[in-house]
Amino acid sequence: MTKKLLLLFWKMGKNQFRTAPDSTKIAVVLSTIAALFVTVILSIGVGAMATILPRESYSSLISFAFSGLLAFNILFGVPQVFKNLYGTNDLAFLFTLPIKTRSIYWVKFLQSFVGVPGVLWIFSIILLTVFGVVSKASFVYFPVTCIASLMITLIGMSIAYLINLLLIQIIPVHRAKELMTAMSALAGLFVYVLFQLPNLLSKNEIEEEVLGEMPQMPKWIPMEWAGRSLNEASFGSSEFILPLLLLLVLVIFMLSLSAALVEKGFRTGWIKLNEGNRPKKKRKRSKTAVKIHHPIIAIGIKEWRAIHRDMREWVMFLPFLFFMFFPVISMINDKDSLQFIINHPDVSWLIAQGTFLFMFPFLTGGFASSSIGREAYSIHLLRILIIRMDYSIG
Amino acid sequence: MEKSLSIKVRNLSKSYGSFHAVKNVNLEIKKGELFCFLGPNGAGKTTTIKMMTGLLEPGIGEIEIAGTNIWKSPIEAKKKMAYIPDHPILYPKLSGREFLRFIGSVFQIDQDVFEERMEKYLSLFELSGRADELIESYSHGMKQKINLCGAFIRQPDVLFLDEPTVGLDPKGAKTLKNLLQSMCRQGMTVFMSTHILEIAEQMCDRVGIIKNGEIIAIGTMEELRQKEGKTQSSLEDLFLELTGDADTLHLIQELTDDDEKVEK
Repeated sequence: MTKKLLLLFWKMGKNQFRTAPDSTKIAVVLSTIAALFVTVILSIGVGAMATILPRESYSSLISFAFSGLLAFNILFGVPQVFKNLYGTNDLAFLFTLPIKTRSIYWVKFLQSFVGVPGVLWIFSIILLTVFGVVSKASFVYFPVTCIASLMITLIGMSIAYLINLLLIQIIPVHRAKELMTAMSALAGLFVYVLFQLPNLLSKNEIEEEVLGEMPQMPKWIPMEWAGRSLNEASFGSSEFILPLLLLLVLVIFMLSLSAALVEKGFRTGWIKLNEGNRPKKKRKRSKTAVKIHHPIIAIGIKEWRAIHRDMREWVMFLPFLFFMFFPVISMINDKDSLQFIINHPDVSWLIAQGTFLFMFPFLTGGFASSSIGREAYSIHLLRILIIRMDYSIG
Repeated sequence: MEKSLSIKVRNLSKSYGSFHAVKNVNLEIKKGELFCFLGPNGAGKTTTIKMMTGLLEPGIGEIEIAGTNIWKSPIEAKKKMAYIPDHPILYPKLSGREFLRFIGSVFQIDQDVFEERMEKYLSLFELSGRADELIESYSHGMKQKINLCGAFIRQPDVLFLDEPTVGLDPKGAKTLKNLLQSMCRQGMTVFMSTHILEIAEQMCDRVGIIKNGEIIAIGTMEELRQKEGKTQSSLEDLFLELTGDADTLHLIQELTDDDEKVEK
C-alpha cells in the first residue's frame, strides 16, 4: 500500500509541476540560482578553511557542522512535520480507506524528507565534498560523507517527529491549537542545549587551545561520531566504520521509536486535533462590540482580531528568535566579546545595522504574506463592499 | 426471516469536557436498508457518522460495520464501507480518472471490472468528458459526483453519506436517488444524513431523528406518524414537532397564509 501511496504523490507532484503557471516556474528557477549562488560563496569559505585549519581539528569542525545540520533539521522540521502529520486535508480521506496507519506515516515521512531536510542534506554534501576535495581527502571520505550526513538528517527528522508525536499526547484537547507554540519552544530549547553541550561537558582545556579555541564535542553524541568517522575516512583509515555503525544503530533506533508511536501519536493525535472542541462559553456582549467605525479602521480592527485570535501566526518567528536571542545572551555574558564590541564601534555598528535590516524585511514580509494569504479566503467579501481595494487589503 | 444487521451501534457517546455531543446512541440498520439520519444543525449527526467511519474516537460505545468492529479491526471494517463527507475531500492535482484509479488500486478491484464500473458511473454522472481534467478545475457538484463515483466503484456493503445532495444539479440528485435505491435492492446498506426532508420521505426505509446528541425518534414514516398521533402529517411537520420547533412551524404556516391572502 505504501507503494501505491507513493505513486499517488508522485503523480500529483508531476501534475503540480506540469500545470504550474510560468511565474511559479520562473520563481523556482530564480530561487535555485540564488541557492546555488549562496552555496558557491559558502563553498569558497569552506575551501579556504580546509587549507588553513590543521588536520587535527577536522573532526571537531565537522562535528560542529553536523550539529548545525541537526539543529536546522529540528527547527525547520518541526513545523513541516506538524503540517504533514496533522495539517493536511487528505488525512480525513485516507483514514476512511483500508490503508494501514503505518503506511500513511512512512509516506508522510518521505514527503517531509523531500522538503527542507532533503535540501539541507544535499547542501551539506556539497560543502563537505568541497572540504574533502580541497583537503585532498581519501576517496573513502566522499561516500562516507553522503551516508553520515543522511544519517544526521534522519536523526534530526526523527527528533522532529518524536517531538510532534509525544506532545500531541500530553497537550489537552482544548489546548491543541497551541501545540505548535509548545513544539517550537521545545525544539528551540533542544537546539540550544545541543549547542551548549560542548561548553557544558568539555573539560579538555589543552585540546581546546590546540584546536583554535574550539570546544570539544562530548564523545557520546552522534555528531561527534559522524565527525570522527569522516575524519578517519579522510585519512583513508578503516576506523571510520565503527562510528558510522554506531550512527546507523542510532538511526534505526530513532526511526523505530517514532514508528512505535504511530498509532497512538499519529492517528489518535490527528483525531484529537480534528474532533473539535466543546462550545465556548458565550461572552457577555458589551456596548463597544457594536460600535461603528470608519471603514479603514474597521478593516484594521478585523486584521488585528484575526492576528490576535490566531496567535499561531507568531510561532513562525520562534526558531529565528532562538537563533538571534542565544548569541546575544552568550555575547553579553562573555566579557571579552562585550569589550570587543565596545572597542570596535565600526564593527558593532555594522552588525547592528545588518541585524535590524534582516529583522525588518523578515518580520514585515512574514506578517504581510500571512495577512494576504488569510485574506484569500474572504477576498470576495471585500470585493463586494463599497471600499477601495487598496484600502481593503490594508 | 429477519435480515442480518449491517450497522450495529451500542451505547455510543462522545463528550468534550462537560459538553455531550452524542449521548447513548443505539442503532441497528439491516442489510439493504436505506436509513436517513435527520437533525437540526449541531445536533450530532456528523459527529455520529465520523465515529461510525473511524474518523472520531467514541468516548464509549461500540460500532460494528457488517459484523466488524471499526475500532478493533479498522482495516477490515473499512474494506466494507465508503464514506462521502458533506465537503468532498479530494486531491486537486489529480484528474478525475487518476483519482478513481487510486481508489481501484487501494480496494484491489479487478482491472476489467474497474474499467467497466468507472465508465458506467462516469457516464451516469455525466463526467466522462471531464474525467481527464484536474479535479481542481471541477465545480463543487462535480467534485461531489467524482467522490460518489469513487464510492460506487468499490460497491461497499455499507455507504455513509453526509449531505450528499449539496451542490448536485437536479439531474445529478435524481441519478443519485435512483442509484441508491437500486443498490439497496441489491443488498447495499445506506446511512445518509440530510436536511432535505422530501428526499428522506421519498427514499428512506426508516428515519432516525437526533437532537442535542440524543435519538429522539426512530422508525418508518408510518411508525413516526402513529407515535405522534398525526396520521396525515408530512415528515417536515413531524420533524419540526419532534425537534421542538413548533413555533417555527406556526410562523411558517402564518407566512404561508399571508401569502395566500395577498395572492387572493
